[in-house]
Amino acid sequence: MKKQITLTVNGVKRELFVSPNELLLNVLRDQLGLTGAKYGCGIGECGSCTVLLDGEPSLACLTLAIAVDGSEVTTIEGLQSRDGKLHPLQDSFLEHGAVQCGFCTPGMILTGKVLLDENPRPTEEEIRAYIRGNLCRCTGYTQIVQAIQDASVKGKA
Amino acid sequence: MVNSHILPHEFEFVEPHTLEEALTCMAAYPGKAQFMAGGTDLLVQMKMGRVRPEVIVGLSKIPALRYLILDQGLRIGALTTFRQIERSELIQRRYTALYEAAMAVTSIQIKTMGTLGGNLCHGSPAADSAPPLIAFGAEVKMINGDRERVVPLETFFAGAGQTLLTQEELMVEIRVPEPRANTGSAFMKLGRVSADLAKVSVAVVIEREQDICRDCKIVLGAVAEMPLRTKEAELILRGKIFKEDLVEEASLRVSEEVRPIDDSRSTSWYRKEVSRILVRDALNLAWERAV
Repeated sequence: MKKQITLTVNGVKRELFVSPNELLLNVLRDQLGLTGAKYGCGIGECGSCTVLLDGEPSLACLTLAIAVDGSEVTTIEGLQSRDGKLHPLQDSFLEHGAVQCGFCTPGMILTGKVLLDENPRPTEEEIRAYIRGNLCRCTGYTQIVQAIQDASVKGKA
Repeated sequence: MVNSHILPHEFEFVEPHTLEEALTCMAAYPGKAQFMAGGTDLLVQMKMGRVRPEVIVGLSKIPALRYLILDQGLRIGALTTFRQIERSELIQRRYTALYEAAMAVTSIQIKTMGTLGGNLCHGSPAADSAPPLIAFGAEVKMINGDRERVVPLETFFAGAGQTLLTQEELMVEIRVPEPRANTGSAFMKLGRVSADLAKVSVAVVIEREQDICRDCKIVLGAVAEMPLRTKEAELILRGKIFKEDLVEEASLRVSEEVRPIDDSRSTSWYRKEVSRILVRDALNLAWERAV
C-alpha cells in the first residue's frame, strides 16, 4: 500500500506516494527525474548513488524512501546556485579534467563537498581516505584528488 | 537473476517511536517481521533473496536507542552509528581499538548509516566492531517484552550469520567496562583495499605494569565462523615480561588457533600468515600505547 511522504529535495518540498519497498534512489530517478545519482552496484560498495540525507552522505540504493519521510535530500542537481552557477567543487572538477565517463562524478562531488565542509584543508591522504567508498574506474583518482584539494586550497568550497 | 536495483518483494513497513512500541510491533507478527537498524546489511540480504520478511520494523525513529554515555565505563545505544563512534574523542583516547575499528569501516556512507547494534546482530564473522568490543570485555543488553538479559559479547555469536538473539528480541545497549590504568589497545584490519570487508582483523587490549604484561586479550575477525578470542596465545604473554621473542611466539600461536576458510576474499593459508603478522604489529602498538 502506498503511503504519502514529504521530502525536501534540493530545497523544494515534495509530496510523494511511495510503497514500502521503494528505494530512495528509484524515487529520485523515476518520480522526480533527478538522474544525477546513479545505480551502480546496488549493494553499498560503489558510492555512485550517494546523496546527502540531512547533510550526511548516504547511499540512496540502500535507503527505503518511506523511512526518510520528512528528511532533506541534496542531490548533485541541487549543488549549483539558483542562478545556475556551478558549485566551486564542480568548477574544480571541470578545470582538472576529473571527469571521464562521469558515472561516479555526482557521488564523488557530494562526498568531496561533505569532506570540505568538515575539513576545509584536507591532506591528500585525508581526501583519499574520505572518498574511498566512491569508486572510479576511469580516472585513476589523481585528478579527482587534485580537484578536491585545489578547491580547498583556493578556499572556494 | 538477482537485480540489486530494486526490492522485488512487497512488505509492510512500521516505524515505532519507543522501545515498547517496537517490541509490540514485533510480537504482533510472530516469525514474519525483522528489525531494521541502518539497513545496510538487511536490504542487501533482501536484494540477494536471502531473506524475505513480510514486515520490517524500522528502528531509526527511536531516540532511546541513540546515545553514548560515560558511566563507569561506556554505555552505547545500539543505534549509535560508526560515524558517532569515530567522532568521539573519549572513545579515541580510552577505547582506541574501537575507534580504529569504526574508522576502518568500509566507507563514509556506510559509517554514516551503519550502526553498532546492526553490525553485531548481523552476526558476520568479519564485523569490524566485534573484535575490539570483545577484547574490552563488552556485554550486550537484549530485551523482549519485560524480560531482559545481558550477555558477554564473547558468547553472543553462534556461527556465521548467527547470534543468541531470538527473532523477537531487540539488542538495546552495548556496555563496555572502564579499562584499567596503563591499558593500551589497537585494531588492525587487512582488506583488499581500504573500502573492503576484512580478510583478517585483529583487536588487542593490553594492561601493562612497567615491563610486564599483566593482562592481554587478542580477538580476531574473519578467521573463524565467528569472531574468535585466541586464549592460548594470551596465556603466553600474561604475567610475563613483554619481549620480542614472546610476542613472536604468541603471534605464531594465534596463527595455529585460528580456523579460517577459503572464500572469495582470501584463502585459509593466507589468512593464517597474515594473522601472525597483524597480531604481532597490534601487540607492539597496543603495548606502546599502554602508558
